[in-house]
Amino acid sequence: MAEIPSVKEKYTGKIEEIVFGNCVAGGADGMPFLSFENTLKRRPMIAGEVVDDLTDYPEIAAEMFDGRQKDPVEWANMWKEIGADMICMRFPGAAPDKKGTTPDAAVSIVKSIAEKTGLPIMVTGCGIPDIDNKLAEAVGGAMKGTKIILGKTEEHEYKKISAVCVSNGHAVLAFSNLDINLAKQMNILLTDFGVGRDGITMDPLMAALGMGLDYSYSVNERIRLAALSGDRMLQVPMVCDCTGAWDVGDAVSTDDPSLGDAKHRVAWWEAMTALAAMLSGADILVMRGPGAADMARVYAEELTGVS
Amino acid sequence: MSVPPTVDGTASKYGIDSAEEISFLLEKVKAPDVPSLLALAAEGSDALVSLAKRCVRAASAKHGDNTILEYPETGYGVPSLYAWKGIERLTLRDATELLDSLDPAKNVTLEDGLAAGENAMYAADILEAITYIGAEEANRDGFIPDRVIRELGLSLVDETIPGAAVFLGDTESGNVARMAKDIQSKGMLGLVTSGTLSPGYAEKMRENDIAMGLDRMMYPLGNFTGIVHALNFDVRAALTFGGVTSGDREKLSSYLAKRPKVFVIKTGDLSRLEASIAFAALMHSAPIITDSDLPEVPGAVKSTEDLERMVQVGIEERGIIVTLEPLDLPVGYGPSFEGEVLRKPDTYMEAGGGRSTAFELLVSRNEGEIEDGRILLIGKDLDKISEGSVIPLAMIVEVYGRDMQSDLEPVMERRFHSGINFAEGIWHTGQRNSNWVRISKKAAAKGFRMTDLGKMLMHTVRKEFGKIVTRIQVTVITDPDEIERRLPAAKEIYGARDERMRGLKDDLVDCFYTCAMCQSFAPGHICIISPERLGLCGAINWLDAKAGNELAPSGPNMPVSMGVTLDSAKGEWSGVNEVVSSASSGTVERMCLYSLMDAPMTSCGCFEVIIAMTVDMQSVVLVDRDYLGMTPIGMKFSTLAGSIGGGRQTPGFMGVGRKYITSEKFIAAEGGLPRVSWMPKRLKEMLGEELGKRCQDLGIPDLMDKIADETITDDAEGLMAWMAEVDHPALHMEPLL
Amino acid sequence: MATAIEYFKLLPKTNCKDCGQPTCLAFAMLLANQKAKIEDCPHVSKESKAVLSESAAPLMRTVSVGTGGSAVEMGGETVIYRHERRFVNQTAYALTVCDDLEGKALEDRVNTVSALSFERVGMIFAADMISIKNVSGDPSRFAETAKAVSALWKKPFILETDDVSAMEKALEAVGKLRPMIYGAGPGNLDRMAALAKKHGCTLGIKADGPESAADLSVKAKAAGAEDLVLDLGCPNLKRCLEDQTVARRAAVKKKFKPLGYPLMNRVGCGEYAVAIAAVSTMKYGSLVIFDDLKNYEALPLMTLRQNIYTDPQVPIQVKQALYPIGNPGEHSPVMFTTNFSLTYFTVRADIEKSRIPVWLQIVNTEGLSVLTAYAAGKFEPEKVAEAFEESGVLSKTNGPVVVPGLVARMSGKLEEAIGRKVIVGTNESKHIPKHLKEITSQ
Repeated sequence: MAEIPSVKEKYTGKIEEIVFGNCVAGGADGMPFLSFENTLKRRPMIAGEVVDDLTDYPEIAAEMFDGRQKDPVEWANMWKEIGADMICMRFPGAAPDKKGTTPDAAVSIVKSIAEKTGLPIMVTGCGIPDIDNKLAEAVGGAMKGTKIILGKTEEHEYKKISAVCVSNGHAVLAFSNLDINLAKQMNILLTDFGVGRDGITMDPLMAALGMGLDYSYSVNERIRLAALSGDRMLQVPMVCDCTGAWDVGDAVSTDDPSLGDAKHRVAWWEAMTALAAMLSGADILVMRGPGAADMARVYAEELTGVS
Repeated sequence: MSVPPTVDGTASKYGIDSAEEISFLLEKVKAPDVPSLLALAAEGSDALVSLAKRCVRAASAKHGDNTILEYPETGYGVPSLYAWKGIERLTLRDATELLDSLDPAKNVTLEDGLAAGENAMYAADILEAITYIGAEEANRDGFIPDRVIRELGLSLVDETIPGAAVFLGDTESGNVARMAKDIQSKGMLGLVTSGTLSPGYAEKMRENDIAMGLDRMMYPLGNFTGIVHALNFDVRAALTFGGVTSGDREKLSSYLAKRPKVFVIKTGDLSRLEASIAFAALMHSAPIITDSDLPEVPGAVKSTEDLERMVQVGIEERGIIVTLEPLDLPVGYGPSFEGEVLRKPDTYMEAGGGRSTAFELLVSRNEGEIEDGRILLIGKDLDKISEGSVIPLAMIVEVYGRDMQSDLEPVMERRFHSGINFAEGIWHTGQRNSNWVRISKKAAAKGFRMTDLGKMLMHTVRKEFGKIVTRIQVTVITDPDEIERRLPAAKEIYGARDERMRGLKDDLVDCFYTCAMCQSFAPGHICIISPERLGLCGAINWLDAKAGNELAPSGPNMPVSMGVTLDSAKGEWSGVNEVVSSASSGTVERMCLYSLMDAPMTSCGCFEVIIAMTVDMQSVVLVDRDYLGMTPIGMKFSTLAGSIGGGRQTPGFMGVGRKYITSEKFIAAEGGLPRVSWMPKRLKEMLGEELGKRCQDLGIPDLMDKIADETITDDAEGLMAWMAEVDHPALHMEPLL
Repeated sequence: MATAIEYFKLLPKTNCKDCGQPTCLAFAMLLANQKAKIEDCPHVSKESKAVLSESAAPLMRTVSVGTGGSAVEMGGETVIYRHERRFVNQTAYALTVCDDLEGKALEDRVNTVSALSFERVGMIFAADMISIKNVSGDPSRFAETAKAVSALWKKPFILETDDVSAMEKALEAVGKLRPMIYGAGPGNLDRMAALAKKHGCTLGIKADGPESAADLSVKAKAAGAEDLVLDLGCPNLKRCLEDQTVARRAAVKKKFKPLGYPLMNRVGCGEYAVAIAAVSTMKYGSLVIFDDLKNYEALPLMTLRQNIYTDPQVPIQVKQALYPIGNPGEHSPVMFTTNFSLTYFTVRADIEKSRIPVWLQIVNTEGLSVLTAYAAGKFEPEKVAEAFEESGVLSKTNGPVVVPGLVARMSGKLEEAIGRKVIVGTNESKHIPKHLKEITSQ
């Protein structure tokens, strides 16, 4: 037999581990799933998406939850049954032109989900900073003692949520827009603000398949490589939101029969986005479709070599 | 108005009849230098500890020494002890032991002062806590309950409330009112002590009808040792929001150094109590701003006689960034109006543009010279100017900031353009004394005033540079005589700036800057920006990068210390190599700033001009983005750009900013400008005077005429023939390869 | 990788133009960017050629299947991560046609494979090859099927059998078309390699892990077959990812020649096959042969391939044209943006969300995004006006013209250039629906 030269890379860095209840995110010390260099046998976590307001939620996705999507708590519980590790609770309905979900209402939803499912939770708002800050403050305070992820923070809007996280022991979701330097800058800003190393998760924007996945894939790889090479400011678990797959016209279109069944197609669209995310370094995957989430989990288990 | 308590009254508050310590602590003293301040702090500290011991004894006698000492509505017992000493539960017996264990204060070093301050703080916190034993009264001046911290603390920590001022001592009633309004208008929190023997801040605020209370952002702390409630508020913010654990002094200190941003205003003569507590404040990174004759300690004690500006000084000393108020204008304002074109028929009034004298200037001043927020108009306002007028106009922005450097003036001044153009119906172009402003008829009809120009400039400078400048004053002048009077000084400044730019040399600065903005699409690329070589996009020079770094220290512009000079001719430094190597993940190991052939700078894709070696290896051609034709090396700009972009190092080819061409360091390693044999005609014209001057300086005044362009030739043979014909200087140089 | 200057040094520097380039320097630049071959220069000296081919010696061999313009190239990769440099030859996908089909059934099967084709971002996604699989056990059938397929299928194909005599027979029939020979294993390597050599075909080697693949490739090379594709025999996702990573790193980083060949996977059909193909597409596979591939699997998979193999420094572009969204009419608004595919898709998706019909004009900005294009002078009001002129959109509607908020500053000049009032739109695409509702309700 030919002697193949060793291709193991000698990395000096390791991704921070963050404990969420019974789950741990991060901890990699090599490129994803390569057991010859990554000593970690831990698959990425799968977070099932739940929204409080279905106005902008695609019908084709809603259909897959048997009506249980109408109640966030019931919906979250269904995710648990499917095998999700985490709930990603989003509050688009907190926007004034939507349902107008109040911080108190959000607290009650998040608390009920935590009680009912026992799963860790990631909470994001509607994208309007003032509203999201109030929501985060209420939810963060109410969930003190149970580590959750609160987001999203951005370069010019991170202090309130960060302060909530630090004071209640939660983790910040640090968003940056497809740029390794911005991702790093966010982590520097948060660290500088006093957020601890077990309190930062980064969302470098996972663009969906056909919508810039090529950029995300490379940005993720560069982030992970830089982290493993010792850049401490990038050694934080990476959250990849794959639900953007459902916004891709070609993924959900039912106009052209030559594209094949839309439900299968969009499931693959999201699952492949998830595969690209996990091969490039994702530690937590946010998923919308139950089928795609299941595929992502099974593949992740197999790639890791654990179930 | 309540009558201030007496010494005995104060003693009875702590459960004792009288105490000479109190008079001793309140006695007015002088501390003109550091040793005397240390001595006073030590005396004050010892007296406070002694007083606390007596009061604890009295309380033990009354309530039993198992009584737990704690404030109402808090989870932090006696907060200063909880935070700094890790004592979570304290009985009166424990308090006695603790006080007994404190070493007598020393007064030699600053550390002694801090230790004295710490002891004084514990004693004060114990004394105040005693007053709450068995007390039923709610809402009295004094301790701030946890619930307020939970409500407000977060805003203080995330800087929605920009900072807090602690008021201590005695001053004239008008000043008190002014300071209170000042901090309220800035959205800051006030922590207010009362006087003990005569009315203090709290009394005078009440006198001026300034509402105080837990919901008014102005908290009365009580008299005498009540000052300690400012400190126990501060530490609880760190414990609640900073994830700091009880007794972790190191983390507590480093957290408090950053936030909450608190400073102390101390007016009037000093007492021993105040001297000792002042050192405790320093432990909490709260600087003391004072009008009394205390010795100045940088970052700790700042004296000012200007009572009107004490709050401003405090804000500057503590690095508080005041939230920007929305701009109030009679016309719309925002980037969507930036592209408006304002034609002559729609113009109500115009200034500059060669039609009248006009100039704009941003200049830094000393702190006493300007008044923050002031907008002055000298001359007629728009309602006194008739339609269709051409008037002279000057816009002068004067700024102060502790970290302001005159190098940043031109960078800030360049933002005037968008700051003015953002307004609907106001149009601006040009700069310095060649600017041009138009105001539309519509804007005039809506009530636009010349002072609104000032508002816009103030807003722009504060928004963009609020981290650097803390005081801004704007003067708008329409009076012709005043403008003529001020113009020479402005011109002198412009001249000095040009001189400074010319004098900015790579070997005279102590650092270069990176620009990593293009890494998103050119991963291996990083620009190294030096005074004599601007970024290859042409948009960022060394001063811009420096300002960029001041504004966003973790942003794309990082300082690069040059380290060891490896080759001064080629421009190679060890520090630059390290940065380049790390930024490119080891792909690019060396970079010579002045060389085209040996480890040239990588090219991202935004370069204005490409330098390329010619096929005879004797010279280089320059080709800019706007030139679409063929070049004598057989490649068009687009082909070259496609081949060298993306962050690669391509010896023989390099993308640069246009202004680099006339730099003395322009491919210095390969002979500089005399290497250039060809460039597009339009590029030559654009470089114009600068290029001519550079040729003069080089002692080859006819070099310009020896550089061919597309009207002479665009192929290799033609260029070689031309060079021979004009005896181009590059022919006498070593071949590039 | 040699730089342009290093190549240039070795060229004759006569600027004879015989290579088709105006100067030797331009030719050197192409060489450095792997866009030209040293053979294109008829005058290069023997010594230089030796030096050049040594320095340009590929870390991974490039192999091809088929002939002429329709040939499929595989391999030639130079890096581990796509951000370092563009991956060279995208993963080829082949679908199986079994030799137990004939006549109409065979024709139908080939047509089904041909029909698996989509257009996306102006590119055609389709299956690249057919793999003719010998399931009949009959060499003559195999050869006949190959012949029949070659008449119906104009792209390259693969002959898939372990049976050397079947392979021989098929090659006699269609060898001139340079099919790929897939089926060399330890038992038949020498004979299969001889066939590959004889017909000048690329040989697919079935191995069991990287070590055995390295052994077999050395033997095949010794037997005269150099154009190889290695099937590492990965049975699952994990082996696929790890073994292919090992092979790629060994070849590219360690210059380990026995693994310096493109890699392939033979999968079945259905979900798991597609998952392996997806992993292989991202991690170093050059060819995947499927039993079958459904259209709803193929479109996402081929989109993934396009994403992974696109040049990270050259953005994907859409064509400058007018794109009507939701049946716009004579009062519908006109919006415009750059031809960077991401910008286009995002803006398009957000317009669709609003359910308001819009004329979307795409302006050619060479793939730059809005701000970058504006800064680079590629998104000027004049260019926008030209694009409007070309598509005639302004004569189709009197609706408002919306300027992207980020380039609001062009609005004045644009108004002048098109002689019509414009409205400034939103800075961010996600706010388009709200803005559209506002402007159309007025």
